[in-house]
Amino acid sequence: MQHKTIVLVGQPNAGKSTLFNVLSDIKSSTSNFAGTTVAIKQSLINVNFDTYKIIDLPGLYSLNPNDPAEEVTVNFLLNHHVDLIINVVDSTLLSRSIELSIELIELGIPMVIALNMQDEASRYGVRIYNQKLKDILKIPVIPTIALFGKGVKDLIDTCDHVITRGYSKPEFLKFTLHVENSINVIQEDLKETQIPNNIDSRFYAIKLIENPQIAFKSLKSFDRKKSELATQQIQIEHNTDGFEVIAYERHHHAMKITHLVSELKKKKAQPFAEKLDSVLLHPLWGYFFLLLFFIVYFIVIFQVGTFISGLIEPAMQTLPHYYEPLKLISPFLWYTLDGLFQGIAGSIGIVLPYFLPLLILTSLFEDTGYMSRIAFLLDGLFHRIGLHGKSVAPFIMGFGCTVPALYATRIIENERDRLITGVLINFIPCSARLTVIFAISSAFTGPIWTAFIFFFVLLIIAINGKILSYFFTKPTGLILEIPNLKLPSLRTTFKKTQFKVKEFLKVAVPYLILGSIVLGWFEYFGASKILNSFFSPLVTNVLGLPEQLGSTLIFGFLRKELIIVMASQAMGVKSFSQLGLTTAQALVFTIFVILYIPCISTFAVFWKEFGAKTVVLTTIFSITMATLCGLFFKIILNF
Amino acid sequence: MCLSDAPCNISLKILKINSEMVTRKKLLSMGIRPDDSLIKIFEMNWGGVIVQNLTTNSTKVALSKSLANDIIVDYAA
Repeated sequence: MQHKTIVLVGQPNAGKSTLFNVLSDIKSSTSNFAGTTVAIKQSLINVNFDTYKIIDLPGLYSLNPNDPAEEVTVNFLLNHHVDLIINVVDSTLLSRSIELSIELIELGIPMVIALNMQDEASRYGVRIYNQKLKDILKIPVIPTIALFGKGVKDLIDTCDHVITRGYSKPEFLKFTLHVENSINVIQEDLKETQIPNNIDSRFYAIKLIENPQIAFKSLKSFDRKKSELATQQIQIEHNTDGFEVIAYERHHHAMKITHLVSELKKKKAQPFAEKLDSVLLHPLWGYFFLLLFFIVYFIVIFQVGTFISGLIEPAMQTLPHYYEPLKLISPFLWYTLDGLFQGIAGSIGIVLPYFLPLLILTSLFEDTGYMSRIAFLLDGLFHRIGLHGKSVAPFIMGFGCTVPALYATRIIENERDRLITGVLINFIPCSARLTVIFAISSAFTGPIWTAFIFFFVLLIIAINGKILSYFFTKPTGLILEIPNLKLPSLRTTFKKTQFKVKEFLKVAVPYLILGSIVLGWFEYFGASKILNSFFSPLVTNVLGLPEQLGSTLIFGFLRKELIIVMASQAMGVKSFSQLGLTTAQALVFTIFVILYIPCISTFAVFWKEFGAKTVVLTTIFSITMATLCGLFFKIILNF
Repeated sequence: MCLSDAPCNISLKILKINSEMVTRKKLLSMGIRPDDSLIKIFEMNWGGVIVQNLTTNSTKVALSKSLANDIIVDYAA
């Protein structure tokens, strides 16, 4: 059955995904950073006995896309039938947001405005007269605070009302006379052209003036020459590009509307967030707090993870003796059961204790808005390795999971910067790899080596960035929105953590258990020996590690955590700490595992985003880098 | 003068943006446009700046040194 489609469109960080989460049963990723949503997410919702398809589109500043994420939204709006647009507007940024609203109205698609973050606006002393805005734009305007679900019921009822009971098109805002004349001339010419979907011909007439490439993509049969004369006329009259003429007119309208519908009451004393910013972005103190932040971040994860793991793992390792007698009676069953047990014990006793604090801290940190400040602070440093600060966001996401981090590279406008960032993200220790670092350090080396490994990996990324940037031209400059600092919501943090833990239990744990069982079978049938012999030249001769660890590297391609789950199994010991590795071996093993190859999910997404050739070259590059680094550490530490 | 050379915490007027068209489009869509007033809030030693458009009371925008060099400003009246 074909459901009517409602799309959420708005500028980055306006709260679209938060609203989507409230409206749907899907939990989409949210944070206080522009560009968190880079792909389309959809869900079905029931409203008054009707079912609608609701779609969360990546944020965009205007319908003239500047990066691949914005292109996703524009392409969707122009190439799909949309029944209603919910334009999510950040009330604290009314003027800039209305510019996009005006552009969306030009599409001629029914629209409702969700005037979001009203609480934030009043905190900044801004009062908005919703009714006046509704009267001017001639479309429903619903005040919302999506984070707390306020106004959402009213919003969705209004959407239902607009869709089911018909809709009168909003009045298109008029440009100055000579621009209007040109729009009318082009609109006349468009009469013979078939306009796809339910887009108004006025939208394409305006686009033919301001950004003809967008229009030509959809209007394949349109004769370009027809619009050229009218466009040239505008350029001659204004002595500037058609894009700037239209942008200024929209800006002027938006300013006028904002002036009419809002007032800035006596501005309250400088909010605490701004005082905090003066420290966090200070040319000296800013870097001090950044360093402090990273140190605290890793110490907390390490300490909490070690504590929880210390409570669970020893208790779990007392259980295998219950099935020990099976080893003599039915060895195959014993290997299967042991594989199953080691998989569960590894997931719950080793992986989850580090994963949980990592998720909670990352979620709290994302919601504060500090991420964009880090991007700015590190921009100068990133320039030295051939990138700019916008790559920081995908990098930081990479500490959670490489897959969304690769998608997040879509917020980078320049293809060259995007490619280098994509390649380097594969070296960022994701939560799975961090778990490997924390677990091995906790068992063999201690927290100082954790920090050392972490900074060594960052150094490798910097060196690789420098190497890669030699093959490309100079990076473009950073243009990045710095959202206001906010207190993170504990409710959102709890929900996000709950969702990600569920996802981990549903997606990762079965892999860990199955992999562990398969390794048990390998050992039963003697296949592990063949694999270990195959990898022996690398594992034993080059890296100086026990031969038995060779087979775990294959499973690490499925999930990185499998390596620590299976290492004890492969070495035939009951506890991870009994592996018997020396400090040097533990470090070499950790470094190699972090760098050698991304997991299978990353591999697939990397292929999709950057193509097969890049994947193959990057894989060869990372295996070489991992081997060289492992060898380097072996030589240095055994010297 | 270019934005890099302008002092912090003083109201400035944007006179011209000398960047290439793609960058100019991006700056326009983020609210950095000629004739608007802005204030430079922070400046890093390596040249990056954070500005805020005073005309639209918009959000803060971070710009790298190369872009700050391309934006020509004057003291607002």
